[in-house]
Amino acid sequence: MMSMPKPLKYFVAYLRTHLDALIGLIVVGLFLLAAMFAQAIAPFDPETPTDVFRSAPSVTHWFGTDSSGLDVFSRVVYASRIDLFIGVVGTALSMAVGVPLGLLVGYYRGWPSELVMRVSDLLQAFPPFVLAMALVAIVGPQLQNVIFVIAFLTPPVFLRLVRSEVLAFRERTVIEAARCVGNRDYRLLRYYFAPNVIESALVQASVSAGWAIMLTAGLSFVGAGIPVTTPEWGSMVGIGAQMMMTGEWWASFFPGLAIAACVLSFAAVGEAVRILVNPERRP
Amino acid sequence: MRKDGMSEPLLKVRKLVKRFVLKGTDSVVSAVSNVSFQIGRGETLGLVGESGSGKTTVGRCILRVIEPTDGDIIYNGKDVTRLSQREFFPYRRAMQMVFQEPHFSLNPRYTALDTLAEPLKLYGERNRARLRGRVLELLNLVRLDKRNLDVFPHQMSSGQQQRLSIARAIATNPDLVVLDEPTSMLDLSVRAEIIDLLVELQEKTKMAYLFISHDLSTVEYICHRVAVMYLGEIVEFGTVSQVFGSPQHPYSRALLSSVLPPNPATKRSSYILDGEIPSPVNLPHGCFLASRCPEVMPRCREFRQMLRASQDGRAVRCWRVTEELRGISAESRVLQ
Amino acid sequence: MAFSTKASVPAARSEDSACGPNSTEQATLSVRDLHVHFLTYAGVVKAVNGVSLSVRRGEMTALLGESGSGKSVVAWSIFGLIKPPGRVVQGEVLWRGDNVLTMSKGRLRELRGREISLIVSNPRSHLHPLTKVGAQIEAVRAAREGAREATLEALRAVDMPDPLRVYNSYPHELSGGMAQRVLIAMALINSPELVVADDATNALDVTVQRQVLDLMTMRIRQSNASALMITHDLGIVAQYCRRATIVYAGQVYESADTQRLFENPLHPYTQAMIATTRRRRSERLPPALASIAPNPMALPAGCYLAERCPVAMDECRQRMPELQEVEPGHWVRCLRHPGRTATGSANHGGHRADVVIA
Repeated sequence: MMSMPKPLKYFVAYLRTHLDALIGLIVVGLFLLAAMFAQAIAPFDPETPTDVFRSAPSVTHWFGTDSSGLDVFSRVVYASRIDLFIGVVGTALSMAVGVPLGLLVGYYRGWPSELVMRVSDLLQAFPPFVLAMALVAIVGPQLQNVIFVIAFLTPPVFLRLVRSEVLAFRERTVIEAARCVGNRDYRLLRYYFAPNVIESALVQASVSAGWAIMLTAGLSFVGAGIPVTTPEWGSMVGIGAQMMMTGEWWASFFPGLAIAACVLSFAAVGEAVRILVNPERRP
Repeated sequence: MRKDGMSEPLLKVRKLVKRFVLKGTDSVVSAVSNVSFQIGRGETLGLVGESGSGKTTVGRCILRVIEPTDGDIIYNGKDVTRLSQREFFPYRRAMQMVFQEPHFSLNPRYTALDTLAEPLKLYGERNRARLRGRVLELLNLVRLDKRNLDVFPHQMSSGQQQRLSIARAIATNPDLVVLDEPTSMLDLSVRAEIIDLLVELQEKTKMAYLFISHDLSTVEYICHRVAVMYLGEIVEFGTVSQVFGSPQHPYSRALLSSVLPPNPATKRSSYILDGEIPSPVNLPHGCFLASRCPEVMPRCREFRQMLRASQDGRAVRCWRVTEELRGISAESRVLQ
Repeated sequence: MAFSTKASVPAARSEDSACGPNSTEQATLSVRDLHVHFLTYAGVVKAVNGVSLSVRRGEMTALLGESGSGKSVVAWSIFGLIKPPGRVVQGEVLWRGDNVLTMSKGRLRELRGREISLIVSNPRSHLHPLTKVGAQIEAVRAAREGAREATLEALRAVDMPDPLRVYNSYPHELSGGMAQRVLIAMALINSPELVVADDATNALDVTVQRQVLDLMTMRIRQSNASALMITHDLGIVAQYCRRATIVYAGQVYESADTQRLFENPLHPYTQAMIATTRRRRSERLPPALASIAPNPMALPAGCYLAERCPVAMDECRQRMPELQEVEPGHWVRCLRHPGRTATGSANHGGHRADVVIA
């Protein structure tokens, strides 16, 4: 129900005045490009060792090579596929569960809502990383399992957030007015509550995506995630950690930098996305 | 009140009661106690009072936005008080509401088109062309330019927002519109335009209005009859010229004197009540106004007075007034 | 509304003062050609576009305007409270000869709450929710000794029924009227010379509003302070204020002694406002009311009210009229009332710093 060109215009104006969002968007864009065109960009195959071991960044190997002779730059580029995929898909699934539940739990009172909240509390009571490790250990270290684990662990955040927004929004006169006009529960949830709470959920999503990447990286770092040969930033940091002892910093540094850059830029973009979703932010 | 030989009134409210329990305590707030009145077709009834008077609650009970604790609401001869929300749905078409804060009663994610099409869609209209046509017609009725179709509420001025609210309320051709302080959040100039619009719409469609407000000059302008409320009860009732011209109840008189005349040459009156409006949680067992009334008598603190009607269709709830009236007219019926 | 009342209170009048309109020497506060802009990422909001006004010693002046007229921004400027993204792009605010906008922090501290104080509306949102009322009033008081006594006295002075209990209460325990009285007590405790009341009784019930207004104006008058009443209510202007200045879209459109303003309103906007309050049911609304405010990011070149003015001429849309003194003490900005030109250079848009209307 939104008119298309105008939100974009304000988005651009926002980017012009908010450097952090602009940089964030550019960085995310670069990573997306890296993910999509990895084959064209990466000079070497990420899983085939070259015969240069542990060499510092040079003209041939921009980010150097690791202890197995694999080109770090190519691996970082290929890894963006996996990490971004996990980040985005995991968060999307998480939202798909958390947001509707949050709407329902915030709107309806009674024991079912209480039950859901307690389960959610329980889930959040465990240290997430430990729980993730345990789950992955149970279901096996594969890509899709990592995604599912994330989709399982993160909904409580969205649930809680959406619920509190719904609780606040239901006190507003507009809900009374909507009832007077003749709207009933389903329509209220779909056309009144949902569009008005989605904004904060999206901002949260940008943060959660970054967190999902961190979680994946962490799991791989301890060897609980994806198999080591597959390029993934976290596992790369793990592998390169051993080299750090001897002062060979590059194998851990660049993937680590990629993680940090990704997480930060997602967060920065998240702020800007509000302009797109919320017409009130466009005067 | 009296029927005056008219046909069945559009809305009859009988002994309406609404009590709230304060969360976390056992205190009960009597927001509305025993309110009764009628509204005829095409008539405007004003409900006047300050905070705690219960006027807003009455409006919301009638439209079943809040459920009444007791009493009857009779619309066109049918008792709709105890219908479930589902059964009540078809009646909503005929009874609508306009709210106080235009910005907060509109969905910030709906364009004007969405807002106006919604009631039409809910009551069965599916055809896009007809929807659009009717929406344009509504915009025209409330004097909003059709460029506003794709505009969001926050892009409109408060006057325009209120016009949109009004358009939404009349979209299904209701018989009754409850207006809850429709102009208090608006500027003076905008207020006047909105009121004129309401009068014009009423002349065209013969809708009845329940006009809830604390703005006395607006009430005087737009209403035919008026009920003055204090702490959940009606304390005075009559036509506008009766109540505003010669108010009898001390509260009505104080309310009217607190208005500042917008003319330096007119002296402001000093008939003022003591103290402030007491909390509706612990209501006294005598007259509610006794602690503040400049004309209080000992009997007032002991006994509650009933609402007594006089010959000319007026009613007042006051011992002193009843005493004075007794000297004048022999008839005074107890109403509740 | 005509009905017999009991005793009547005469409309407020301060002592008759024979000073002329241009006498700045008599003015304690003088705002001169103030322009305030707000820079947002969507554009520049021109909130105040050349407002000049004076408040004379011991006088109550009204600043009358609807929402969006910039009246609150003028109030903040008086206290030097305009901070980014707001900026005073032109003009001065003279208090006893010094420009508030260029004062040092120390001097501003002496000024705020002591020489000039502010009473706002929505009292409970402006009091600290976690501190007792008595402590909050004491915190405002300049002198340190005898604070408790002085505070209780201040509460008594605003007709508080049980000063000691209120002293020990938290703001949420007070009713709206009582909280407003607390704000008044805070504003008066240092015996300021000027009180700025920004829509002070807006949030109150009608009967309470009346009580509070009577009380506030009486105390101000008793302490010989001046007052600037910022409001949108013609009743308040008519009943309590000696002079009135009408603003619209950040500009002054008419300014006069209240009595004269109501007897002989010159600007079509003023006339329409006054007519609205007086009309009977059968009368139609005068069309002059500009209910659609101009966009402060894109102000028209001509008169801001030209769009809805029933007597607008073509010239009105092209040229901004200047503020002219049409009769002694009565200033209007309207091409239909040329009047005598005030002293000063001829300039576009009436933005002249040396024109002071009192």
